[in-house]
Amino acid sequence: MVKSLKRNNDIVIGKEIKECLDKYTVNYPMDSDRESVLYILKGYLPVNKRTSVFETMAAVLRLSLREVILSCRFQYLIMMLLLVFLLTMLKLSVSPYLTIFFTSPIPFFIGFRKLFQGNGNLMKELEKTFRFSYYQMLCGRIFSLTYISILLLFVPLGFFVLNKAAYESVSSLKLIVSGITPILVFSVYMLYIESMSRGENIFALSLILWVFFGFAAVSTPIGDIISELNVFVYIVIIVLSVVLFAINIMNVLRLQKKEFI
Amino acid sequence: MNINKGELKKLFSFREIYIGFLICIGVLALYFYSVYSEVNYGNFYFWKSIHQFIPQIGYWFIAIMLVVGLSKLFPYEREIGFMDLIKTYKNGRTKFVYYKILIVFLYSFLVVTLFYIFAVIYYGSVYTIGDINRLMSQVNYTNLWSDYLVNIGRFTQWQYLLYEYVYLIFAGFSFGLFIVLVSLLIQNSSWVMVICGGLFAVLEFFDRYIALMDLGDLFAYAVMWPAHYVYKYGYNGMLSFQYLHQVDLPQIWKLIVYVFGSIAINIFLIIIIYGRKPKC
Repeated sequence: MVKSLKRNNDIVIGKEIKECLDKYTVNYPMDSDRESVLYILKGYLPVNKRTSVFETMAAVLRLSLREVILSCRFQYLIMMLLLVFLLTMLKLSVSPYLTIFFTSPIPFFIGFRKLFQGNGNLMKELEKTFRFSYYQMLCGRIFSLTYISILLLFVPLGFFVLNKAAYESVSSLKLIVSGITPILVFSVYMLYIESMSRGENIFALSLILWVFFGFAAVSTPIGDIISELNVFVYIVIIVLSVVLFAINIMNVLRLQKKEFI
Repeated sequence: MNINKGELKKLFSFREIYIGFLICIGVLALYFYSVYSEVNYGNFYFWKSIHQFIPQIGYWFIAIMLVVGLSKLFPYEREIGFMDLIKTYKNGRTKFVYYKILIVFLYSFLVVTLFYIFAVIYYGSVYTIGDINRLMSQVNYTNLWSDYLVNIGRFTQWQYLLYEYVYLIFAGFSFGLFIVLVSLLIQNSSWVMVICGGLFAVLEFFDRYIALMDLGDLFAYAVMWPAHYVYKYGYNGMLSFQYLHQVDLPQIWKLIVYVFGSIAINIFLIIIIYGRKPKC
C-alpha cells in the first residue's frame, strides 16, 4: 500500500518537472561568441607540431649565430684590434699569404673554446632534455663560427688592400682563398673530430698543432710551398671542405627524419 | 709488471696521440718535400742532414708528441673519476708513480726513435748507400760544417749520431717529467697541453722572431736577455742541442749534470707531490 502511494507521488513529481523543463527555454549563444571562445581555447591546446628538418636547422643556425655574436663579441673586437696593431707596428717580414693563412682560423678557435668549454661527456644526460640534439647544435655552432670567421677575415684583408703600396704584388683573390681554406678545413676537421670524441683535449691539441705548423711554415721552406701554392689548389680544397661539411649536415638531417618516423 | 702493461695500454688508448702523430707526419712530409730541392748529393751530406734534422725542426715534433701524449697521463684517473680506486692500490702511491715514470721514459724513447727512423729513411732514400757506409766511420767532419757542429772527442759519424740519440732520449725524458709535474699541479689535461705547449711555443717565438727585431735597449735587457737564457738552458735549448754542441768531451760532466740533474729534480718533485699521504 505504502509502496503504491510512493510510486504515485514520484509520477506526479516527474510530470511536474517535465512540465517545468518543457516551459524552460535555453538561450543558445551566438555563433560569433562560440567561435571566439573556441579561438581562445585553441591557444591552450597541445598542438602536434611537425616542423620540417630545414625549419629546425634554420632555427638552430639562427640561435647559434646569436650565441656566437653575444658570447664572443668582445674577444673578437680585442683580437682584431690586436691583429691590426701587430700588423702595423711589427712589420713582420712574413708573406701576407702566410699571415692571413695562419691568423684566419683564430676567431674560429676563440669561438670554439668559448662555446664548447666544459662540454664533456658529463653533459650528455642533460643534453637529452634540450630542444635540439647535440649534433644539431654542433653543426649549427660550427657553421656560425665558420661564417663569422670568414666575415672577420676581411679585417686583415682590408689592411693589406689599403696598404697596397707596401704589398704591390699581392693578389686579393689569393689572399681571400688562402684565408678561407684553413677556416673551412678546420671547421670540417672539428666537426668530424668533435662528433667522434668530445672533450677539450681535441681543441687544445688542435691549437698547439696549428701554432706548431705556423712556426714550421715561417722557419722552414714549408712557408714557401703554402704561399706559392696555386689558387686552383686552394679552390679545390675549399670545394672538398664544403662537400664534406654538407655531407655531415645531410647526415644530421637524415638522423632527424628517422627520429620523426 | 701487469700494471706496466695496463699503463702502457692506457697511454696508447689516448686518441690525442694518434691525431697528433698523424698531423706531425703530415707536417714532416711537407717539410721533407719542401727541402727536397735543397738536398745536396755530396758524400757527407747524409750525415750532416741527419745531425741537423733534430736541432732545425725535429725537436718540435718530439716536444709536441711529448706534450700531447703525457699531459693526460696523470690527470686521466681524476678526469674519469678513478682517484678513489687509485688510493686502494696495494703497493702504494709511490710505486704507482714509479710505474708512471717508467712509462714516461718508454714513451720518450719511442717518440725519439720514431722521428730518427723517419729522418734516416728519408735521407737514406735520397743519398746513395755507398757514400753513407764510406763516411760512417769517418772522424774529421769538423771542417765540413764547423760553423754548425763542433767535433766532440774524436767521435765517428755513427758514434756522434748515437751520442745525440741517447742524449735526446734523456732530454725528452726530462721534458716528459716536467709535463707530468705540471699535470700534477694543474690536474686538467687540456690546460697542461696549452700551458706546456704554449710555453715552448712562446719561447721559440721570442728567440726566433722577437729577438731579431730592434725594439730598444730596455726591452732587450728587461725581456729578451732573461727569455734567451730561459730558452737556452730550458727545455727548448735542451731538446735543440743548444748546450750539447758547446760541451767538449772533457767537460761532458756538465752535460750529465745538466740533463740528469733536471731529471732527478723532476722525479723528486713528482714523488713529493704525488707520493704524499692523502688528507683524510
